[in-house]
Amino acid sequence: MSISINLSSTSSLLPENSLWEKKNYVINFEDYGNLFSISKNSKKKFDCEVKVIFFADLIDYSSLDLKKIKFYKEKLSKIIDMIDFQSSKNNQNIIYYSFYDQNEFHDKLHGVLISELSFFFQKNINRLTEKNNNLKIISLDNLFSNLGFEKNFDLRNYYLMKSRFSLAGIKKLSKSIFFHLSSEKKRKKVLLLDCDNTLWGGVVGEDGYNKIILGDEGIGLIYKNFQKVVKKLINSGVLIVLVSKNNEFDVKEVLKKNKNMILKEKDITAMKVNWQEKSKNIIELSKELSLGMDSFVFWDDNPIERKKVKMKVKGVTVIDPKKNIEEWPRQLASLNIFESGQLTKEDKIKTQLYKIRDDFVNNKKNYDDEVQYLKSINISVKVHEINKNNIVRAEQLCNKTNQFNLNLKRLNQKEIIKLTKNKNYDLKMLSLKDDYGDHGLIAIYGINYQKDQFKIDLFAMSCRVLGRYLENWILNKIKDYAKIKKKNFIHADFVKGPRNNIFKQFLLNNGFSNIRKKNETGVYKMNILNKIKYLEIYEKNR
Amino acid sequence: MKKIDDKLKKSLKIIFKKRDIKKIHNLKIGSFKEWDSLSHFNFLLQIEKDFKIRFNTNDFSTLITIKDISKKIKQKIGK
Repeated sequence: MSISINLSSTSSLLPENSLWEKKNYVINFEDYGNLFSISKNSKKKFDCEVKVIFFADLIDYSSLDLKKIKFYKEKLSKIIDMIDFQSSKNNQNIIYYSFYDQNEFHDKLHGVLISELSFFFQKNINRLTEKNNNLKIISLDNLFSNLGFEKNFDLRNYYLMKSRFSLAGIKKLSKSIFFHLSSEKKRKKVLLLDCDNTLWGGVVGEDGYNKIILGDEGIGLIYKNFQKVVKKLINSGVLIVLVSKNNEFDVKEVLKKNKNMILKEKDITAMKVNWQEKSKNIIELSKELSLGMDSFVFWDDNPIERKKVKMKVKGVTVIDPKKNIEEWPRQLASLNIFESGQLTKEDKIKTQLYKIRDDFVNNKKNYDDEVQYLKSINISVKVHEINKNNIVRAEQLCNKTNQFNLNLKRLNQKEIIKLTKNKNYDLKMLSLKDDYGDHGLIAIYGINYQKDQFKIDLFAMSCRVLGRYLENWILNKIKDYAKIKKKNFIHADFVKGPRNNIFKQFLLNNGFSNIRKKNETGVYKMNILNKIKYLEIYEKNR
Repeated sequence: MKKIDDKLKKSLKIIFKKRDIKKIHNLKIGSFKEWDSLSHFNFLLQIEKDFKIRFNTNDFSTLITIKDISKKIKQKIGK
């Protein structure tokens, strides 16, 4: 992966320092002060561009006064415009900025003026992030606030080498950059929370729903603030599951009746409140929600429970809460490992959608005749063209579907738009509704047809709706299309990923046969005379 | 003194990626082509980290040779 780092000041980041060495990354340090790469390297393409902006380099803090505010606001606007323009060119952009005045030669008014400029910048730059999801804005001043400016900046280094940072500061920054680059692929979806001494103090089974420690003072306030952070995560799309050794009744009573609870029943996607091993609960949960272990984050105050989960279920991220519980709300808020980015309509109602899936799986278990059951739940499917209103969801389906996915092709918005304009390519999305609710847009497929070949190029479906044989219906649709195009065979190149074996099974179950094997890839082929099963479920939709 | 030199050798290796540095006392800024003023600065910061000491602003302009650096470290850590 290649990264370009552009700075507003000279050698600020001390290139060649061993802190920058990371395997798999090629880092290009732009000529110093060349914030917008207007240089010989500017034609090179990088996977990611990082900018580090010190406003102390761009604003003369020593002579800042009211008259100059307008001038500097215009300057900031220009910078924001440039960021807007350049960020659309790259796949990923990270902007770090700092308004810190390292020399601190200022008067009283000075602080107010800098605050005003800082507010102006933040307000306008945040607008950009709303429309560009490939742009991340990070305040260095916030990033450094825990350790303090003294430790992260070094005035000596500034005077000697114009490097504003201390080694600790560079380390923190490089860690942050590499964290953001690597974590993109494996963002977590679900937070698994213990209850007693995690969401509240005390033991509900002994103390009762009203006597647990939770409130507006002392330790109770710490737990309350912890819940507030959880609530914030929920609002950004994280799913919450309670995994607790308790009587379910007791926990539900707290959720319903304790007035200090920030979390309510509706916020909780699923409850695994029982006396069986937590690892067993997590394995069950992974099946019920159709999510891999690497989607889960486990938070429990009890070190023994943590150790057991670490040992028995591989892949779950187990957090070790800090010793002092007053640190917890901050620790949780700064974990920074959960999925973020643009929220689609589907994200916003995700908790509800997963609940629907839970119900569906449970009801299906009780039915003897699967097809009859599926017929009875009134499934309806709709095919959608891709347009600017749903492209974010199309991108999501390509990038976040790991299980029911033909070849794990990760397309970005630009690439998707390109495909929609290709005359030999048919790209569609599907939405699904049934008695369990409106599931939204849940599948995407793309067909590439040339003179000699008709090939499924893209096929990804959200696992939330598995078990309805929708994939068969889609395949049949593709088959109909092949008939129109007068093709006798449908091809599909399966690419093996860590978790998409289910797709290979689907191909084999539906008359595809492997005609060539190449490392992890298998080329599959189906005769269009082949009959596809389970279509009667969708009779109404034909 | 030998301990300081061994440690210095390690710091040198980290910054300049040289495997076979044997005698270090004659080395100074410019001894190999990678050793320019920026990497010298990085080298001194690496020493600060490895020896848990801090050079002052003046030290940065006077510490040019390994001999001087080694002396300064000895002074700082009081050995």
